Amino acid sequence: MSRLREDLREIFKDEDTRYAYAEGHLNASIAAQIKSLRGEMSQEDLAAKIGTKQSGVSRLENGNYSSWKVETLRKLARAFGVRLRINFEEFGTLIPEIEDFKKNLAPRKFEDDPAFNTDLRVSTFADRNVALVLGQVPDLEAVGRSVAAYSDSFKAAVDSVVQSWGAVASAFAEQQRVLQQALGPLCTLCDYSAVSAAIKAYTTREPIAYNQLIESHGSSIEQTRSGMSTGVVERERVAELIPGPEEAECKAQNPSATGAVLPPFRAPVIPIDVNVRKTEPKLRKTRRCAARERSRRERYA
Amino acid sequence: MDVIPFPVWPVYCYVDGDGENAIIRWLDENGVSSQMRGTLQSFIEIVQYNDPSAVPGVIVRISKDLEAFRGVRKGEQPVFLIFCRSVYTDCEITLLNASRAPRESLADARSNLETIRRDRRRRRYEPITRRLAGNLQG
Repeated sequence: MSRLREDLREIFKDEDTRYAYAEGHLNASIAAQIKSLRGEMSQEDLAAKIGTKQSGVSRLENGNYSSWKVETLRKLARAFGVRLRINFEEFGTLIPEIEDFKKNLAPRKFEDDPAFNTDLRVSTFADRNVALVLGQVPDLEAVGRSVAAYSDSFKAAVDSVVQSWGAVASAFAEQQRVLQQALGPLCTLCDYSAVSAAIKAYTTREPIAYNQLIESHGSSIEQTRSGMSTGVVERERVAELIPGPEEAECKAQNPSATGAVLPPFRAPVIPIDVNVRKTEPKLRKTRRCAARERSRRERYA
Repeated sequence: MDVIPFPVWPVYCYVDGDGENAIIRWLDENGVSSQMRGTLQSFIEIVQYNDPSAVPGVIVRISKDLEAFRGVRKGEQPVFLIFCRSVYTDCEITLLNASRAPRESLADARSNLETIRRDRRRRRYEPITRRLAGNLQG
């Protein structure tokens, strides 16, 4: 049983305290969400959008404020591009809400919601892996490059995941070893073709371990996933990856490698075939590309 | 695998010479309601499992080294729980005392802080919603 659950069991014995606690949490949650969703927007701008004064927005962003109206919250939801949900809940739902308080503060705007944006669909890291394995991504090389571009951020996430696994799961030592083995190439290599191969090997051999990883460390993985999620971001990162004029020849010979024509991913429609890896298309490299890869690998090493 | 979360910013309470939680004692003696305690405890809990910036407008700085949780409820006088961050480790909070007007009790808070620095047993991890034995009013 978690420490919080034990504490709340004691605190909630008194009914008045229980309800005051829930109200306090609600007020704090609303204030924190408004502040988080406002982001860079000034209080004055937000006030203008919802037809109030800056001081009104300032009050709403105070965790002690409890006199907000549903109508005001509706206006705020519209200004933020999200929907307002009002629910009656069991007290037990407070536990995950407290533990994940900061993670749930800023839902995506409608425009960024993958449920309604086809460019963003089938774009999570896991889906991407499956798509790679199934060979449904038309330009594997470009995908490999984009994955390599993210290897740094992915390395940090993987490091923390592996580290925390190590701390709590001596019983899972074998799994950890397999994970590190599988994730190692992703952490250290910037060779996009090797990264692609590593992902393939990993997803085909260790899907169960991967799922466990996602389950127990969903947030850090999710962060990485969302960082890798959109084709737009990929194209930008890939473009960053190949900035110099000396790469012009490389680009000319292999225009798709710039990422500029990277198509959106399609949903996998057939089960994973573990033998697909054997049919991986050979990647075309120029001498200049190969030299560049070597220097990049040295840099990251 | 189930990961059991622990407070990342644990909040401790100053313990007086009689071994009693000084914050709870003050709340009891000043007749602070269960509702106010519940409200303050909800803020404390969010901070414990996230960080002090999680709840906007609730933590106020009252001096260079001290801050306070501010609890406000309609029809009640505000309550300030004066605290100091990082007495022994980076991510922790120690409630030093409580008051209606924080600046008036700064000297007491600093004195309690010195006591804790000398003896780390003079603080305890405990919800402030509890009441001292024999004091069930308020």
